[in-house]
Amino acid sequence: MRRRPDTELIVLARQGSIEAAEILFDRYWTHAWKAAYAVTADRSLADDAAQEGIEKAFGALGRFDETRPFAPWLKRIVVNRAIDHLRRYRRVEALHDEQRALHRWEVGDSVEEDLRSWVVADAVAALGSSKRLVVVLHYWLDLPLEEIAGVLGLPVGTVASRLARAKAELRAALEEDRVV
Amino acid sequence: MSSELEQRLREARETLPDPDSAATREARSRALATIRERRSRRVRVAAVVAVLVAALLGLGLAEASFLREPFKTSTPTTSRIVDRTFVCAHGPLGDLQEIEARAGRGIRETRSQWKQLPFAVVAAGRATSSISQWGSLAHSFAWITAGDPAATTTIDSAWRKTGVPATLGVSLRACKRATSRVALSAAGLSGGGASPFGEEFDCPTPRRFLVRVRAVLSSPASLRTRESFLATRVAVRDARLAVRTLTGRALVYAETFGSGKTRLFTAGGCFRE
Repeated sequence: MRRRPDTELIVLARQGSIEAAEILFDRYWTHAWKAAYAVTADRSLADDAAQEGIEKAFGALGRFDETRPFAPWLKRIVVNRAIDHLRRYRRVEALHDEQRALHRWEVGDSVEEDLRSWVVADAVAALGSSKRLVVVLHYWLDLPLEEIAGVLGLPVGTVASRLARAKAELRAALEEDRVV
Repeated sequence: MSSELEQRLREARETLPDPDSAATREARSRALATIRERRSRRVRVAAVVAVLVAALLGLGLAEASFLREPFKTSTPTTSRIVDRTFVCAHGPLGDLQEIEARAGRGIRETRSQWKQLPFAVVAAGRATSSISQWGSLAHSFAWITAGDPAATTTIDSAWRKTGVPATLGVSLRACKRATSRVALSAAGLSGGGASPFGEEFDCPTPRRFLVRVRAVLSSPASLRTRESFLATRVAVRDARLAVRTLTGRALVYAETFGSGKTRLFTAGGCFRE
């Protein structure tokens, strides 16, 4: 079956098409939730942030410029909500335990690669929250430094130096684990 | 070296977990509700335009039935997810500015029948009575359970009666709907699994505080007014209840599960009864 383009779905959803909205939801919900989880490292906060983000995005479809891609717009809304939640609940440090690990606990077909990625995800989770945020926003959510500076309300230079310190910390930890 | 690290970092995002099905269902229902609202707005606008055109064409405003009755807003929808936040105040249920958080693990009578449902109650900190059918729940701000009650099933160890008047409820005397965000999280609180005999804590609170109830029901239902409660009798699969101050400080967090497990967490200022 033909994959209906986002633009078409957005126009239909704006007109009140539930079917189009369902397809859009199914296409982007998991991405939105993962973005919220990457930022918050907490399932409850991620549920709230992703739900509010996608609700806000669907409510604002009338203002969305459909000539631009939908996914980055939704991601920005969700990331902003997730950061708001983090600030509100003052999750300064993400706990590093089984409940709070950033990665899932099922291995796929390539066990070795999964385990190596788990080690990396664990090392990211173990960073202080300010460093973890810039790493996650840059490497997992593909936000450029300027945009990270915007969402965190920091100068670009501060974001860049925070990222450099985070990478140095990660490199030391992963060299010890022989992952890099 | 740096590029290898960056590559490993990018690969690691593939390990992020997936959302659970309850969160997905709730998000879907909330997102689609905004589209339905958009559609009903369009219909209302179209109706108003049609009426105005009809009136201008001389059909007579008196015949325009749309103007004689208020436009209907969306009908109450039934859903398997109940997720409501309320602001509650002490006055209607007593002047003592503390809440009582009670919770107990479920007790099975037989494999398929409950003697006591897993439950968590947040009630006014005052003596309870069991004069009405609501028993100790009469002084509750909110309560959650899990499991399918039989005629002889009980909830809340402070209550000796049998029968469950509602599997989930919120006091309409003491609580009003709120739009504030309340995290369903035990972060900053201490506690854990509740025993079948019940746990009870008293927690000092400000005069007004926030309560959020989130439950997955076994079948779609809407909350209905039952005496002075907004409640349902539909069995709950699992539920969460959080109490926070208006400034966001966590006071109580509880979870009930269909397996019978109940977890209760309270703030440092609470003390065990």
